Amino acid sequence: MQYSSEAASNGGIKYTLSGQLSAQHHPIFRVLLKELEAATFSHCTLNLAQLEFIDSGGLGMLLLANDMCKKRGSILVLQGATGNVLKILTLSQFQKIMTMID
Amino acid sequence: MMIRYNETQSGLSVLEQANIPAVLVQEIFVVQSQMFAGLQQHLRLFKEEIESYLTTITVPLAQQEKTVQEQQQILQKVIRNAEVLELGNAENLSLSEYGDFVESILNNAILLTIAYSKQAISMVYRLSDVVERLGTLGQLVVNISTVNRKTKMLALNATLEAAHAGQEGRAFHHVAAEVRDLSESISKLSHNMQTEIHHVTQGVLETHKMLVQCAAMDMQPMAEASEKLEHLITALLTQQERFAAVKQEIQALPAPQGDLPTVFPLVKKIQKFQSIVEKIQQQQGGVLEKLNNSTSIEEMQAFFATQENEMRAFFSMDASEITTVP
Repeated sequence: MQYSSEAASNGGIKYTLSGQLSAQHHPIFRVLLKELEAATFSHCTLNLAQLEFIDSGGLGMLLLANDMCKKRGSILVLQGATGNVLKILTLSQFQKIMTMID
Repeated sequence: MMIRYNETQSGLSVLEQANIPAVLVQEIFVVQSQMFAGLQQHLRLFKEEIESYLTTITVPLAQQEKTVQEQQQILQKVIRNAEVLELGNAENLSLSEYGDFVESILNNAILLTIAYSKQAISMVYRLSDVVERLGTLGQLVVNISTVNRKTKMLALNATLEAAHAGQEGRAFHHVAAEVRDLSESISKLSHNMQTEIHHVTQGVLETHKMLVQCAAMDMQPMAEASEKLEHLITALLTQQERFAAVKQEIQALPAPQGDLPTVFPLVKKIQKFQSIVEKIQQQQGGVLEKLNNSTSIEEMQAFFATQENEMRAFFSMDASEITTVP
């Protein structure tokens, strides 16, 4: 997994994830989480449009990110998921837990 | 001479118009009487044949009707049973409810998997911290070893200095020896600590690796299972609709009745025809008797006129029903 970050509108922060988000990639995701923990933002968007694969560990890491945002009084938005990633997010009922947009 | 039946004129009128002698007319009546007797005999045989036929077909038809009723009941029972699935704990589910039930099981399994994965990743992060701390601890032990080596060197130097001092340095020599022994003990302790830290670190790293593997469950088979389940639910709903359609068809069938003629129209027609034959027999019996007992042509003429009207009315009434028999 690779990621990049940028400032978003209305005081938000946006991360773009690409490649595979699996349990094996926990170290790099933890770096992202630590960045998120240190940052100031109103809302966090994870752009998943370039994400090709996700497993249960990846879903667990997204939930950890969501927990972190909630603790900060913020929200996590998942954006642009497609294909199997979107199918698995929907199957896992993430749309009931966090905001998902195209 | 041939006597033809005429719808507008009776046979006697024709005979009268032809000026046929009374003796000849009486002979004709005798012939007719014989013909009527023959006809009556044929009608009687025909009636017996119909009665025999009715008896022959009535029993199998009644049995068949009973069988059809039983088959309908069995079919309805089969459909009722096929529509419901018993789970064994006194809980019954319809086909559509069964689909939802299986879907909820799969959804729960997915949610549990994700929850465990989340916990596993959290533990992985905690263990990463522990490994990091163990690394720091190991470095501290290395620092202790470094300090201890210096202490050991100091003790060695002190021993040498004490030897140079001779008798005056004897006490110092003793202290230096104690420090050297202490340093040896510290060296052994730090070595043991390093070994233990290494073992603990290895154990934590193995656990860390196992947790990562536990969290790395491929969700694709679950997605495929979910798709198959959707097909299954659709199939179950279709099946339920089929059963409902069959039930409606069965319910739309005419209710079986005990009166056999209403069940089988042909039997009704045959019975009607049988009553006609009986009536013809009665009529012909009366005609025969009258022919045998009549004393004058006028009397026969009056009788035939009456009979002819009655028969004509009778046949015109029943003929249409007879001809409608399939």
